[in-house]
Amino acid sequence: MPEAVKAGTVDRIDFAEVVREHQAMVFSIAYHFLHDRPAAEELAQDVFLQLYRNLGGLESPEHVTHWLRRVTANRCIDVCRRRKLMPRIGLDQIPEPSSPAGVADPLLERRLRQLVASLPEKWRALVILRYQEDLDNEEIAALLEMPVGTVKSQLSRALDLLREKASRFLGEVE
Amino acid sequence: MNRLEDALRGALRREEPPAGFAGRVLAAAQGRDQQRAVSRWWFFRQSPRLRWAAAFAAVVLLAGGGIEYRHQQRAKAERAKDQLMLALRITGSKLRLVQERIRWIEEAPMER
Amino acid sequence: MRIAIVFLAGMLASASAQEIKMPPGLERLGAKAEESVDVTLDGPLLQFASRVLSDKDPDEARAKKIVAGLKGIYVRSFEFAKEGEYNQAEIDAFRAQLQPPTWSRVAGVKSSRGGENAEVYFKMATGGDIGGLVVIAAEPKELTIVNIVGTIKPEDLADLSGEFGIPKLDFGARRQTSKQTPPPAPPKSKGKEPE
Repeated sequence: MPEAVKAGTVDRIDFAEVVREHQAMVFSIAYHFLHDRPAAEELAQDVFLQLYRNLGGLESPEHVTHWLRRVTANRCIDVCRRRKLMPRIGLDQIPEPSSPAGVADPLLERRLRQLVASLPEKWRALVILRYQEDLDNEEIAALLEMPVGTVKSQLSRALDLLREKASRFLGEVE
Repeated sequence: MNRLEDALRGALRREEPPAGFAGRVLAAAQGRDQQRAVSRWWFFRQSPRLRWAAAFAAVVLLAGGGIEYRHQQRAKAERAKDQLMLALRITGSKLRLVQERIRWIEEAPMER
Repeated sequence: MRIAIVFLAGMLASASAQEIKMPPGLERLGAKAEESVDVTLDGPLLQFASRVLSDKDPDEARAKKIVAGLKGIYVRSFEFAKEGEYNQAEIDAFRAQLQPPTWSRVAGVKSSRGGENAEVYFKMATGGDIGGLVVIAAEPKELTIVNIVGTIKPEDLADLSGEFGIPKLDFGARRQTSKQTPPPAPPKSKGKEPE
């Protein structure tokens, strides 16, 4: 995003480029968090509008990315806490069909997304930032303002829980 | 890297938002800028050519709406299909469970 | 007025398709469950779904064949964090609808040690076909009820309980194939009653 943000001066074209470049990231964090496509779209739109109001204060492309991840993750946590969202499968909430190349097992992937969406909010944020955004423990800790040790231990517990539930789904005997 | 982590990376890969998302965001951002909106409206009113362009754009949008409707119907059918497959898989897994337990008991009569 | 009549007719059609009524308390279980599945597909929506099933995908091709004679599929499945979240009396009341001669209990397994019960009921139709299928699988932390309304051919049922939709990915050491291990129920329980 070299031209999307120029320090101190932002015009509409820059903002459009920022939106296009980061829309998949913001939308996907929200979608994997909420497991609800319309709600994720609404949340992502709000995040970008907040960015639009604050873009002048952001200093670099890296700052924009960091800001978007942090605001999106925190908003998702807030929304979940407010709504106490239950991951239910309703016709309107089933993910849109998509068949990217290399998908080994769509059923399993959908189930994993459901399992992630059923984790406690903080754990959910950790898992999404780790495996969707490929961030390391230090980066996640900085983003969510948590100690690195806490990130590490909570991520490990979240993975244990996911592993247990995923095995149960597959009908395995442990 | 274990298999669960690999599977999570696959399941949590980034997805594009619904079509038109960026346009809607930009339109909403634009709506906040009253001054520019007013000046554009003023410019539009001064130009008959722009009015024709707007009418043409409206026709294109209507045609596009028809295509969008068909896409939505298709998406709805795909969602219903996903539900159907999920329902059949759950049914299949439960029937297998019953079968396997019965088979296991039949094959191990001494333990009954 | 016309809208009201159409709506009422739709409701009646839906009710008659389902025939067996899901326990009313199930709706509330979603709030207690860690995970829940709620599938209601009947009438036009079911046919709508079957139209986009692919002939190339083996599972979808099988599903297309199975769905051809169906009027409705209703699945409620819940997974709870702790035991005792669902009301056994409601399950009993649901089971009470499945009376002979219309319904036959064709299989049932029960584990007194693990508390896992699963039952399969058929509604017999003419020509050796199955006119409906109900599965009740109740475990201490899990409850699944399946109600399939419509005609199922025995060979389609074999497809459904065969390889349909078995996930292929494993999780390393935790996964074991069914040939290497007994099924999930504890093997030494004397409470198991194959039928």
